[in-house]
Amino acid sequence: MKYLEEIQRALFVAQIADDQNGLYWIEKLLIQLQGYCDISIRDQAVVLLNMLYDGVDWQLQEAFRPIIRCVGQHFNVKVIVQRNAKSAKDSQIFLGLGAPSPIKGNNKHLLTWHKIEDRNLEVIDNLQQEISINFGKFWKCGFYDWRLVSISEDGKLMPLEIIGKPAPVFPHVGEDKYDDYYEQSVEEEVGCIAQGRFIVHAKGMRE
Amino acid sequence: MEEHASTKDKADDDKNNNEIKLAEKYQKTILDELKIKQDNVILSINKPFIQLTMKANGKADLYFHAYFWEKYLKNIDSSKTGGPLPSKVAAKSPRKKERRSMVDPDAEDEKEDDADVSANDNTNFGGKSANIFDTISYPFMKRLMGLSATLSKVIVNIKKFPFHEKMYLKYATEFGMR
Repeated sequence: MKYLEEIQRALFVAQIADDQNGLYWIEKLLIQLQGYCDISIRDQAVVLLNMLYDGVDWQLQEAFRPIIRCVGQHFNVKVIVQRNAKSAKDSQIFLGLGAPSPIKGNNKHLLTWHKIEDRNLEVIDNLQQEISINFGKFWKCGFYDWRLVSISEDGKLMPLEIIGKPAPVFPHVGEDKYDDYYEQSVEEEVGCIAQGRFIVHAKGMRE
Repeated sequence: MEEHASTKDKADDDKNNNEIKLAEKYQKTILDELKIKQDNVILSINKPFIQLTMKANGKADLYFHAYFWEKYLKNIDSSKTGGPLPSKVAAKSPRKKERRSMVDPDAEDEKEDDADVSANDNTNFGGKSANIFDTISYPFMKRLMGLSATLSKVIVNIKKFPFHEKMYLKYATEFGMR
């Protein structure tokens, strides 16, 4: 595991420095580790491969709960998160969004940061607050990854945690009927990280 | 062996010196052509920070914004107090670079780079520092400083942990032997 921690650190460094040569060798190593005898090493290599392909390390602690959408559907993020009344005044919340470029003809995946303003916040009580952001409509096919982070008063980035159940991955047909693998497992989870992924298909794909 | 190493170091020194001279020359030419005097420069930004931010595809944006504002506010400090504006970022001496590459990374590098950054960012007025935007009167400065310090830490890590074919072979061998 020590080696994997070193590889993880090297991967982080190669990604932030855009070291394509380094990324090539790391990818090669991680793919080879898929054939390793120890399952925990194989699993960790899968996590690191995800980090490599995502371009961000947001799935290291917890996997995204993917939500399927189509181009043209509304792109809203709405979650209830913990509220630390003591430090709320001095902290700031940002939403990181990794999404395809909105520019026509440019399909690069871009990471942008959006400050959560007062208008996006609705305080429920001393412990909870609702954050909602409307990004308009999904503009292109692809992955739209998001994560909420709080910046502490000394400048440290910390992911926020969702309170309660995250939004369902698949729309329910009836009240008591569902076929949602993620929802079945979420009951056991305590404090999901406020992050997610929308997988956006072409317009009309689900009609 | 030692002789070979010292020759190589000397060649690196010369190369670094030439690069620094060339960069200074270009900077002067650009300023001359735009008719900008040194007094007109209100903000100088650490070049490696810009380069890192451009390469990082958004991952370093929050840190760079914080660095920019921290730097800008400190410049306001100096202009309000009538002191000289921070001069251009001091070029790192090739000797220092050499030391950096020779010393094993763990302790020394971080201290050195932190010192570099603080030396660049400190607004000093003939030995007397005047900080209007101090962390006591303006608590948000602490956040800005914490965020912007991450940039120099990342740059240190980039130097410390490169990944190339040799590293790949090392890990492949290690895993292969288990």
